[in-house]
Amino acid sequence: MTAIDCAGRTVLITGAGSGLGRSMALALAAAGAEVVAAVRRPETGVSVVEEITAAGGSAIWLECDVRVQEHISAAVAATVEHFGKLDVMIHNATGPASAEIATLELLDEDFWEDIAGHNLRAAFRFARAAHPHLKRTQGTMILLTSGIGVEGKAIQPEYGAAKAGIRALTKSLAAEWGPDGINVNCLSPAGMTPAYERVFEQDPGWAEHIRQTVPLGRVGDPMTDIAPVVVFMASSACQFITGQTITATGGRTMLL
Amino acid sequence: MADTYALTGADGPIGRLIAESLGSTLTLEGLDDSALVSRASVEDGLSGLGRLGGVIHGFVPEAVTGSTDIAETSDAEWDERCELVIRSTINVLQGAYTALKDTGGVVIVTLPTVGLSGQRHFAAYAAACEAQRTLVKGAARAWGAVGIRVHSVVFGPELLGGEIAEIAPKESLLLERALPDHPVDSWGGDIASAIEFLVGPGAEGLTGTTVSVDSGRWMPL
Repeated sequence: MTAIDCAGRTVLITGAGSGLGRSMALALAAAGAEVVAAVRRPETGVSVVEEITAAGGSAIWLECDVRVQEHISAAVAATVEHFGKLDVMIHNATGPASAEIATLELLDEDFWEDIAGHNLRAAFRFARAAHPHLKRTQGTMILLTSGIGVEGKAIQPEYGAAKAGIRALTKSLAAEWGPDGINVNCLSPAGMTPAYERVFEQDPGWAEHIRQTVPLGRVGDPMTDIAPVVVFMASSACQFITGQTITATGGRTMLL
Repeated sequence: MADTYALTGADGPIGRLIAESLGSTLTLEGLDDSALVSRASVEDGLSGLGRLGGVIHGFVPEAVTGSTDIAETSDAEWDERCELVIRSTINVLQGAYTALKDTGGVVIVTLPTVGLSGQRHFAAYAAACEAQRTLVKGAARAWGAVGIRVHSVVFGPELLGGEIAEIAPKESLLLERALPDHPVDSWGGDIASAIEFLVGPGAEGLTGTTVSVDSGRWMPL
């Protein structure tokens, strides 16, 4: 049986400085991966790398605004330069507009630019930049989607559209890159982030809503519920799975 | 006087089929494709069409029919094959909302099956199509309360012409057509029939649906 670990795998992960991305980075490193933490704010990069190295892991951080092509190219190049290869590319970062709520008729073109730039366009650009390196290692690409990208949502329509686009991009890349030995999958998580915590603070009824609509009755813990799924997806144990959306939502989204 | 239905992409492959098949059934007015670049221009175009029953988005930019692998795709190609498609759809949906928010109506977005299945060599457009379909769902959830119903109608990529018509059916991840003898020539009429149903009284309880007019290839549920 193939072990679920990431020993010796080099992982570049965006948005690794906080929220779910930070938990993913910590768990991947604990599973043996060499981690490149691409972060927007340097202090978060320093912090996550300190935590990984203190635990005996291997990691570097670099500053990356995922809306900027030059940053994307530089992040991939720095990964290969430092660790000699790229095995797993994870685009997890998103932007502030992702958490804003408004129905479609209220949104302007700048809003789409923010949503696309952080999510769908960045996914495309990271895929393009990572492809030759993933082909060399027969590696893995992981993109982040959302249940909103499956069901649509009245108050996050463009975020849903971008995340749906990422699902289709995942399927297309899985088909396109399968002959290169690269597998490509999506993770759809529902984990407790700082933004989600604010929702709980602001809306006393939200906890009851979660209990009623999520079969497991809670939002996922980033470290114990979400990160292990990413470790599996980044490991060689997942190499025959491609083009899929893996949902870690406590049963909130049931796709099939 | 019958309601008018605005049709985008009336000179394109899908809009033309819709116009040919529905022209005698519905009052259709083409919306100039150049209006799709902004919400304001869509609203201007729709405001001149009289009593509006709905909007049918048949616009498909010609660029999407060309193949390109993601590793070789330029930013400009990504924009014209993906984000232009999404932005146009946002503009049409927003313009339709302005035109229909006081009277209600139906908005239908047409798109090929490539987004449902994913499609090698056409990944940018596949991403756009699935984004379009999820915009439809979000709009349907938001605007049902003001009487606006929003749907997707999907069709086989054979209808688009160009490389996508030639390559996508052969390299699709979908299974073979369940109705292999149903001629492609009749698919335009099939799309029109689906639209006619969705804008009619029999579909007043439906919104946010995806009707697949593809001879039975995509069966997700």
